Amino acid sequence: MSNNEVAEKVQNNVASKDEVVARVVNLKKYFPIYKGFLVKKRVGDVKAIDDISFEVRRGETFAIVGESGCGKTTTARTMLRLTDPTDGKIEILGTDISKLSREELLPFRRKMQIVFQNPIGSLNPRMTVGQILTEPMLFHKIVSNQQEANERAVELLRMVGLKPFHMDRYPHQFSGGQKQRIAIARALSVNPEIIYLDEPTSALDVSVQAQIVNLLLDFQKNMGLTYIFISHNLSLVRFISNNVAVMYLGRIVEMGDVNEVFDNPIHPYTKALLSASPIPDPAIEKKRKRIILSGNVPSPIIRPNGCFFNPRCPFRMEQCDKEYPQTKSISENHQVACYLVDKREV
Amino acid sequence: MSKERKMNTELRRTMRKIFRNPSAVLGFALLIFFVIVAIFAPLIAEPINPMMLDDNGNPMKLDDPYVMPIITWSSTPVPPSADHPFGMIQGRDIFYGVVWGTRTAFFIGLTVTIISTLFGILIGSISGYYGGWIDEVLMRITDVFMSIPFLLAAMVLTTILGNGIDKVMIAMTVFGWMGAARLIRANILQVKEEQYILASKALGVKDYFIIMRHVLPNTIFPVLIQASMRMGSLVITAAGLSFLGLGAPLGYADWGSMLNFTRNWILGASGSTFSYWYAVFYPGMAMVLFVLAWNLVGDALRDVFDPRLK
Repeated sequence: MSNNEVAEKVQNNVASKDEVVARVVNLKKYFPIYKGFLVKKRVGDVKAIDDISFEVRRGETFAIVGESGCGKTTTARTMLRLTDPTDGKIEILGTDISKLSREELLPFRRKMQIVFQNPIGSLNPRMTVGQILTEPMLFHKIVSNQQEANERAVELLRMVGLKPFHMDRYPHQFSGGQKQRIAIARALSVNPEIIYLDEPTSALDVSVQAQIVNLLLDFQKNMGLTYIFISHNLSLVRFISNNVAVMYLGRIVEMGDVNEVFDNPIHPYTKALLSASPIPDPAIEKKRKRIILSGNVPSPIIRPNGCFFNPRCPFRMEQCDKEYPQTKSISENHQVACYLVDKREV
Repeated sequence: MSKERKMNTELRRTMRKIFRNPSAVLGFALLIFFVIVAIFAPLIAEPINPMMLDDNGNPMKLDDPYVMPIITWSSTPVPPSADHPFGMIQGRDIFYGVVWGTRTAFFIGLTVTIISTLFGILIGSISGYYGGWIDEVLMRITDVFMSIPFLLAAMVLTTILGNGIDKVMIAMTVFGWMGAARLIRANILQVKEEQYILASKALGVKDYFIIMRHVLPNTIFPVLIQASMRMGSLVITAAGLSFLGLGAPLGYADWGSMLNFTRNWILGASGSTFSYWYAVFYPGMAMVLFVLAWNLVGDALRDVFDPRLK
């Protein structure tokens, strides 16, 4: 497929509410581990993502939650093709991009952008805000000349709540929240359809978090953006997202509508996660029973037999040690990979 | 805002910054002074031999101005006088040696620093950017070079190649690139995982642009600053080698070989320790000020290049 054809295909995709803009099918990302001096031998793999599938619809916010090292960020980076997937498909706007070359990817690069967790590291300290914002537009030829780019950059700054005179400043002259606004402006500069938000608020303090979240929600409403939101802040996830996937050791253990999953969690891991996030009411917080998980996350290199969660699971059964549970639907928009589903049905 | 005006404000800001800092001013002033001395050396110390006259009775021009003429047959150092303001040693005028030695110092410093830094940058950036076994091989080679004591290596190399200022420079280049290589490699390793690089990759920007716009501007300045500071210390190293008799040939206008002359007089005459002070003081002082100038300039550059200090 030539570049133009791809570009056309991307452009011609008519926006509809139920359209799937991103679909991941059996995606795998293994990082090989080598040992030895000069002559290296592959001794194993870190299975950062192990066979995950999900769909993201236009205009929704799809959240991925889980503890550190469960593969959330790797999922986003693989979907952006910042790292190449080991296996599986990544369909963006109807095209599988998992094997496209650098040039073939370009039209899709425009459609997907990312906002990182750490606003300090995500802006080049030697470039002014103006340079940071105009570089992507000029590269993708969204504007025809520097002056047009500058005008658009000023407009973007205004949209994220900054002033035109900030154009000539350097990143270190801004606060954390302002830097994150600049990072959002850079992501918006190429008119993307999907934005990956990799814990965009976790490095900010609470009052600034709320501002950034509101800004993101405004943009979503006005521009019909699709967000893939990576977080471990569950109350925030519930507030802004429509669907959620809970990941554990590279696999999705529970997925579905955010209210259904959070109100009626089936998987013990989801329950434990929800139980770990505090409720902003001291009266309830004091009385409520918390599930405290024992042990640590097992190594992603040598994983337990059967269900990966079995060493920490309070409901461990015989079959949990034998085979990894199948993913089952318990309602139209709620899937779980746990043997407790069967028990519940009985 | 037009590009030109922006450049000007940038330049003015940089200049203001330099002139606000007294040690930076001192550094640049010293450096400019040495540059002037080097450029106008033929006017300051005329390359003539007063002991030999040509057919018209005028002093003869020197074939090679870097070889100091013998102008007195006195075997002991001659104290400063109106004609020879820095005195004379081993029959040669110290003033002449110091003035023409400035050229030698610049020549050695610039050549060795530029070649070894470029080589270091090449090795270090290949190593850092590509990683893997290339990195492994290049860094082990670097380690081997670093493990050999510099003076010993330089001595062995000059023994093989023979004496002379060019041989010393070869030795200093061959054993002087490792610092720059290590520095730029470490910087690239750090910068290449930064999120602004990933953000650029997510935009599909070409590797070449990423290196030119994001990687190099954030990694090259520490190397340049280190190079400017090394410029001074290289002159000391060269002088050290000359002092050991490995460097410039006898009578060459080089601060180190001038100090070599003082070996027998450094302790003074019996009873008066400082009787030959001028023999050590003038070439030594030239060297100290030269090193100081480059160090202060290096410091000033660091302040100017760091955007966080603007």
